[in-house]
Amino acid sequence: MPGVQHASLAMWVLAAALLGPVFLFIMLARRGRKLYIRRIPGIDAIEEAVGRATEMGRPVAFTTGLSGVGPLLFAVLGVFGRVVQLAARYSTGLFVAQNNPEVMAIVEQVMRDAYQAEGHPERFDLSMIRYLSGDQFAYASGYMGTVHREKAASCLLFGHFAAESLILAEAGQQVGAMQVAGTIDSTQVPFFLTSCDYTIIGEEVYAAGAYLSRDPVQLGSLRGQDVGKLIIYAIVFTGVVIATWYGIWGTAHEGYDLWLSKMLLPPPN
Amino acid sequence: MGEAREKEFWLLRVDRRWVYLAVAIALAGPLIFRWAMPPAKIGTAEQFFEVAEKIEGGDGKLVLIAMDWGPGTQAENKPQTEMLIRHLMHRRVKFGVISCYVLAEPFLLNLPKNVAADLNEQYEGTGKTWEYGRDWVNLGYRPGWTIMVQGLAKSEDLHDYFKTDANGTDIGEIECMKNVKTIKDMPALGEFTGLVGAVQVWLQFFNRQEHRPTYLHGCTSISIPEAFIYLDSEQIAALQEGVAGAAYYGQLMTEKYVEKGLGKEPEKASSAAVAMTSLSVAHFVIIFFIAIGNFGVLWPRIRRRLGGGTAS
Amino acid sequence: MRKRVIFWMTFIGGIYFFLEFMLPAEIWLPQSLLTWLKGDGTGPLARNMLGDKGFIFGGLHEDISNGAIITGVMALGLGLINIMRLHGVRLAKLRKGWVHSAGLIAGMLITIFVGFWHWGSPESVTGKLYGNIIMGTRGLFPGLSSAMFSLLAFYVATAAYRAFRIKSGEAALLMFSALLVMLGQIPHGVVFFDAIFRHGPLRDVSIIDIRMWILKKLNVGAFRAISLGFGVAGLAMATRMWLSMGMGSFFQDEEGK
Repeated sequence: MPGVQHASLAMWVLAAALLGPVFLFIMLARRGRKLYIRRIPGIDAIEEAVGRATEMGRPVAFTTGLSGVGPLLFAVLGVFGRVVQLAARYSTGLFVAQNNPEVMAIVEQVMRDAYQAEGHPERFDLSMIRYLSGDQFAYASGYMGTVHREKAASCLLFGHFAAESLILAEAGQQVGAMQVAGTIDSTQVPFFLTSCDYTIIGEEVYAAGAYLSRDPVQLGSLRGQDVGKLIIYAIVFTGVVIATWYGIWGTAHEGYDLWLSKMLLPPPN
Repeated sequence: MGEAREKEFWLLRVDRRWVYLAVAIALAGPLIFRWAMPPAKIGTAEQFFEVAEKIEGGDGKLVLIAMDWGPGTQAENKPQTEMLIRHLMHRRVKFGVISCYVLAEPFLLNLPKNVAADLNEQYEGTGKTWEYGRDWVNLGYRPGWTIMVQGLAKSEDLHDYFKTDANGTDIGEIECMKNVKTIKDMPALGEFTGLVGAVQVWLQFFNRQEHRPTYLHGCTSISIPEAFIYLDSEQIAALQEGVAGAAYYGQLMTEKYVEKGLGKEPEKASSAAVAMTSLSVAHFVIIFFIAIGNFGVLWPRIRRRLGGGTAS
Repeated sequence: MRKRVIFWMTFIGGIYFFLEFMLPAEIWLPQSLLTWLKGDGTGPLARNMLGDKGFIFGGLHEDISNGAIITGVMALGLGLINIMRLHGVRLAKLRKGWVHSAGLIAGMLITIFVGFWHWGSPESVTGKLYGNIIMGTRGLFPGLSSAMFSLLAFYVATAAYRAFRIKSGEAALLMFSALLVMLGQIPHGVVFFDAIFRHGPLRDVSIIDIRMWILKKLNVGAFRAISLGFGVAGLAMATRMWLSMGMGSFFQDEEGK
């Protein structure tokens, strides 16, 4: 198998095929076309979680996990913005545990803007944002301690998580908090499923921002991604048919010698 | 108001501290008494051994071992890394250790050193020795992840890219690095990690159009299902599955390099087997608690069907 | 104005890495032009950006990468500022929990000091403090990290006991396959399975092979599907980030545009 250092023509075509529908549906959404998005129970539960914390007079704990600055963080900020908006409106306690200083700066700005938009800038306090540690387990230890001391009523865990996911989720379990988690890390989803009330899996995290804001650009992007996935399924199906055909009536090796198969990989120098 | 619902059956209400105690005893027992059962015959570990046996060595060739793990996952990643290092040292294949994870630094320094010391002790008097600089180099912690790996793959002069080893010695003065100039001189990469996303970084960026090193990967047990997708598509040539893989790999090493009279039996090779035995006992404890939990769900229903009244 | 500046900075910063991958290694140029650009071959353009056939877009990749790494490392300072702001104020005003804040700040300052000074000899006082007590394989930090990780063993057991209940057909199937995978990788499991099925239709079947079949045939497809899904989503989101499309309040001016 050769290495891939620069894109081949097929990769250009694939990139266009995956991104083209995204731009198309963004354009259509901006022009007013209504786009349907199915209900995601975990996202609906976020408002319930903040409401629960407000009634109990205990804070909401939010964490972005080990997320760095990247596409996932920006998807999570869509959810985070909504949570902060509700917390500002109902004067609910909120603390945000942080692992990454760059993310912390972005989170601070989002919080300021949300409190400002709700007309309560005086309710924003910098001590709501707690940079715990850049180390995975020091951060988990800090989060556990904070949740136990503050007796959080709701815990919202959105972002990248690794081995510390169960530690974080169990901390909320032990204080009886309502927990909603969302991650694209498939290996951590089982831990969240056992310890959290609602779990948002994989690309539903990316859909969460669109679901909450109903922003045309985000909805259009979501719809375009679905079309992109259909294109990938078509490619996979074509490959399965070719492999099966040659597996039965030829040799498997011949299938890889087809021009279509060779197109996907760049030619060796 | 009367009782709103039946009280939960007692098997469903076992205090979690009893569970903690049972798990602690199950894990500690084999570790304290050094019980070691023969490990399960893991097919992927056998494949890993065969791939490692075929790695091309010699002057001007350097296998890169990325130790992207720290104290948290050392229970699984350390025996895996140690086995590969031991294997390469036996075969006299030169290697360099590197990491993108800052907490790996002490292990980068000590792990190859300890394996070399162990081999030197085993082969004392035979003339066979292993030493730093000639047999391995510590390239140290290099920050930057994707950018660092990409730069490493594209570099036309690794001496200029690395400049010094972890001890501050000029790379050009290190014997095993003398004729290693680009990634084309690296026949294989051993990536050991428990970190999310680490293997994807090396898989995507540590290659060139004209050269793709053989990828060997060692992962923690939680990452095994994810690692299999790369093994299935042959992006990874071989996989060590957690400490179970390391334990069986250690057994294969013992059969090949110890039982044929090539050295004394290495005690350290059995540390993975002891850990595996400990995990094995703990697995059964967890299965036991799952079983009593499910029995606690089913028993009241069975009693009701038999007309036994409400559960307590 | 602010939004425009952010847009252009983001776009220029992202376009380099995009073009570096998408363009070929050498972009063909006419030989005459190539020769003219190279000149005597000693200039920086000739040395880094011009090859035998054309223009090398990624000729300065190493320098650009080092710049990106250095910029990222500077973000560490932000974390330090937050810690000092939060815990420093608590310590200065002797608020509740000030002792813990004092411990945190003291530990942080000692580690920073020793980390800088240990660049000297490992045999020096700071070198030994760093290598043996703080960061060594048997030091404080690795020990604490291992201890936190070990909590997972207990939490997995309680989570499994609490959550793994057979309440439906799918749950039963999931639990049965999980059991097979667990037993197939531990020595006791292999012995247990062989002992039960020693005489019977499954006597030639190994639990190890059953485990491998589940991982290779059932698991791979599911994991790949999830990976493809969030891969496409990540691509779309990254493109929107690069083009600053619909990124929410962080990129809006006061009018919300």
